[in-house]
Amino acid sequence: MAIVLTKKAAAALRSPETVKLIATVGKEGEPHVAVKDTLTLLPDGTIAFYELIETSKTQKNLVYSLWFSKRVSVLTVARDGESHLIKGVPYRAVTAGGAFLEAYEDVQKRYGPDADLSAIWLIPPEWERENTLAVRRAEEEIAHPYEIHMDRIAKEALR
Amino acid sequence: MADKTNPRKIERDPNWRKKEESFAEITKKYETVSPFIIAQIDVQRRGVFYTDAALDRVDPSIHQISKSAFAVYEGRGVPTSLLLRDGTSIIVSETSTQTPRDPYTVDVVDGKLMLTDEDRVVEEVFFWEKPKFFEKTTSRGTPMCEVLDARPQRFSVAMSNYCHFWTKPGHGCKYCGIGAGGVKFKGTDEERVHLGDLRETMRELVKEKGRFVGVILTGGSIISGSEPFEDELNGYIDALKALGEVFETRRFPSQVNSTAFTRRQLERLYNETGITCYTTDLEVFHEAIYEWVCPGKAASIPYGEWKRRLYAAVEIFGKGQVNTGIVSGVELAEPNGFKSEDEALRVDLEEAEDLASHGVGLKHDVWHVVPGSIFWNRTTPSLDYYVRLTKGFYDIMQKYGIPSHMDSYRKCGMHPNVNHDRI
Ligand code: SF4
Repeated sequence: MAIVLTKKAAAALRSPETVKLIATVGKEGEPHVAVKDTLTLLPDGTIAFYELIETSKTQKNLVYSLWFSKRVSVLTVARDGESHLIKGVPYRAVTAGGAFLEAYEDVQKRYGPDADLSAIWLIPPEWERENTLAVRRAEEEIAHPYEIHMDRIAKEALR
Repeated sequence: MADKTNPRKIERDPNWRKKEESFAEITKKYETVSPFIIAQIDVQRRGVFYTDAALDRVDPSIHQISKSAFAVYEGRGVPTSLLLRDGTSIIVSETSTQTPRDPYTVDVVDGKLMLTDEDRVVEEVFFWEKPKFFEKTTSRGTPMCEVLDARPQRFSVAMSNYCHFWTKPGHGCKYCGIGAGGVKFKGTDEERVHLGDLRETMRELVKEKGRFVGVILTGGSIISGSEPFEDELNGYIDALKALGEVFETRRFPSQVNSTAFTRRQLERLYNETGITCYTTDLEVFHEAIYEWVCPGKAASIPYGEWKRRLYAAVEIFGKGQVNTGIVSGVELAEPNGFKSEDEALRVDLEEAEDLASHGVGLKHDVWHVVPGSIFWNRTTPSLDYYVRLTKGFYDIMQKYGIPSHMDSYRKCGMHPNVNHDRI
């Protein structure tokens, strides 16, 4: 079921400053991760990105995920460490038609005439969490207060 | 009231659903086969019908419209075909696919264009969009949409509208509608593609950025020439040279699907043009059934010789650049086809293995019974048969490491086993 991303996650996906990665699994079950600068959030709340290489592992794994309803993960990381993890099942690979042709021209403007476009991938987000270390640590302390090394709670004088 | 989904008044078996496994059952049974590919197969097998609501979604200024349509749609644009969410094309013509089974229905559900069956939603679908050159005309006055045809990512040249096998009574392939309908073109201006029209259309086509990834040239067989099929070969060479004029590179993504040429002819085709891939379809993977279904082909080129020419093509074009296809299902046609699906599948896969062991790629076209063909009124096999065949061809291609890009979902779209080779 698609969700609406938080404002922070949406802004991170749309920011040109963040590093964006996508992690996928294919028929062999091996995880694969790749940086995708073109990952963004469309006005309707769907994650989108351009796959530029037709036979890339990410492309194959996304087809696999679409065919067999498997989730993929998208991660954003900002320079200051703010990070967001989002998951969803690919809904569509746009490979032809007006929207594809516009995107193709956009790719050529951004990356030069040697760039090609294979598909615009559309992924409705289904799950998200902030992955910034400080936020995750705080959550962990509340959820699992005793999953720690004991020296951290030892008396100061005895450390 | 007349059944609008059955304009040709084909006799339908009201119990056909009870006699075979459904789409839902087959997708559960074959967990490693893409449900999208299974949907493609079943729609190609059973055909489609468009509701009024679906046809209201057709915008003739954007969508590709079938060039011939049934009276039931008179005055309305009928979409050429459909795309699935993963980019798989369903090559299905409402105007030529009529089977004794009920067709799928394309309708609008919750604002989306949906493939449905018995009021159940199967998949979202999209109409094909036409290329810009379709609106233009050559200096001779030929509409460019008649010079080149298009699918979502590839274009095609119909080299010859008339197949010479039909000159001799009973020699046309029995499932073929092209040949039977092509007799009217014999000796006319429209019998063969016009090179001037082709050049002008290509100049327009290449302006469309991001539109096409390949071209296929195909047409009816032309027996004439200094040796058999030399005129057909010369036609392909001339057309490929004309196409190549618009490209900077010597070779461009292109495929000829022709009669099986001799080694000398194949060398000419490869050396004199910018071609990259070659196909020649055996149509049936069994000698005796081939001779019955394709008598004209068999009289000109015996089954074993056709195979030898494929092997020669692999040596010239390279592994992964040559394949052969069957019209899957005709091997079970009555009265001379196989008596059971299991037997047909066993023979198909044995022969497929032999071909693949020589580097020949495999593909199959789901047989849709074409109006006007000799096999009109026959019935196609079960969905289970087609899925087993698709998986069998796919597995054999993987086993022998034969790439399938030359006929991929982008460059063709017609072949389920090749469309499956994306993961
Ligand atoms: S070779 Fe056979 S299938 Fe091809 S056009 Fe001629 S009769 Fe039809």
